[in-house]
Amino acid sequence: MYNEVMSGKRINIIKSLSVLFIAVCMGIVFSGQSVMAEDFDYQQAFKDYQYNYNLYNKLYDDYRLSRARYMQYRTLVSEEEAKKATLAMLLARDESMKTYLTALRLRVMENQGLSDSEKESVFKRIDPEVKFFEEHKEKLLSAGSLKDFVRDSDKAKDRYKYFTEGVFYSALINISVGNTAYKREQIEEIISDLRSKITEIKVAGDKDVSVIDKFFVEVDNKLARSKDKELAAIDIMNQSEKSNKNKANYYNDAISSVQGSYLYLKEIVSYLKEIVRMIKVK
Amino acid sequence: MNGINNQQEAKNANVPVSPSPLPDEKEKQPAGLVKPVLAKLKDIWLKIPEKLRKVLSIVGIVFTAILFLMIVLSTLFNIKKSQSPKEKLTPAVSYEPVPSSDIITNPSRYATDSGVLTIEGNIRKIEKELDIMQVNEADLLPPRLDFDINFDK
Repeated sequence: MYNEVMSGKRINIIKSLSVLFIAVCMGIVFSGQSVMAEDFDYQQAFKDYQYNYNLYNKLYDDYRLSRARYMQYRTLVSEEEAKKATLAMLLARDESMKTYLTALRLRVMENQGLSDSEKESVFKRIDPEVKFFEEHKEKLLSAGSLKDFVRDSDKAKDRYKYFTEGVFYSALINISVGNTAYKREQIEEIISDLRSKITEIKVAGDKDVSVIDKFFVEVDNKLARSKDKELAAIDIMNQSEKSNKNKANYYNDAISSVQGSYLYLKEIVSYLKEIVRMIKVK
Repeated sequence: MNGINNQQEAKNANVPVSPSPLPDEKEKQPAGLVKPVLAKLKDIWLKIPEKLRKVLSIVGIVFTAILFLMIVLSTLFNIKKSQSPKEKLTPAVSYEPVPSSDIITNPSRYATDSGVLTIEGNIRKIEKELDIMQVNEADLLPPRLDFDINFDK
């Protein structure tokens, strides 16, 4: 009787110890995953993309070679080789696009000039594209013939043309606009400090700073123009969504507009330098 | 001799002829300042004993040769120096030239004001950041992927 009770207790202890052991193991695994997720930043995502894109380029060359052999000989062996090379290339193409979009997503996430809602609207467009290419990869594995590969590739082609291209160009413009907007915010803080200092000087009354007011009028004008250029860039990208024309052209127009905003910021900085100089001179 | 012949011919022909100068008079005629100096030097040179003259001649030739050689070498060295790449010419002291607009010759009392200097520092910082800023995110331009896959032609 005593032995039975003891053996039952031992079993319970062993059970609870094994549960504890499993829990500890699970904890270690999940904490490790969360640490890894935290470490995954834009730099890491960009490295992933570069690796996959280089791999795609290599596999694309292999595909071209296998395709040329198949088109020349039309043998079963050359067809098998072509199928293998095409599958490998298509998988790498999907992975390149997926990692590229992920890198873009993280770049947007780390951007200091975009608001949370602006970031969220970009994510909402990027995430379905990532999902599409992930699922497309899985579909490729079930393809049996070269015709299947061509059909699957065409699906990705349509997706790229009608959705993905517009999404990444829009994300790129958002990143650029975010960068200039962030710099403008910093400049506006400096302008605010400078205005406060000039008010202080005016109160002290020991220096004529009336000329500086004219400079501030120019600075304000340029700030407004800089903002207008950024809004124009966003507007161009919105127009591209409604159009079937080449998205790259829209992107080029939009980036020129952001460039204009950037040049206004540089001019503002040179004005601020001149104002400081005027303060420092008798 | 020509002069004498001319006089004799003139005497014979009764034609008045200008008297030709005597050889000694010809030498004594002044020909600027150089000739007398040279003549004096020649006199001095001739007064020196022959052995010493030889020695002095050799020394003179050697000295002239060395001088000539030095001139040639220095000319060649200067040419090489001007042809050598500029990177080799490292200045002893390197400095960054300060733009003339940054130099304030008549500072106000705000030239050393801590608030003004902080603002100035912030402006310089953002100026540098703008200089290195990449507007178009060149690293993240879309990859070139081939979506035209076919086995028809």
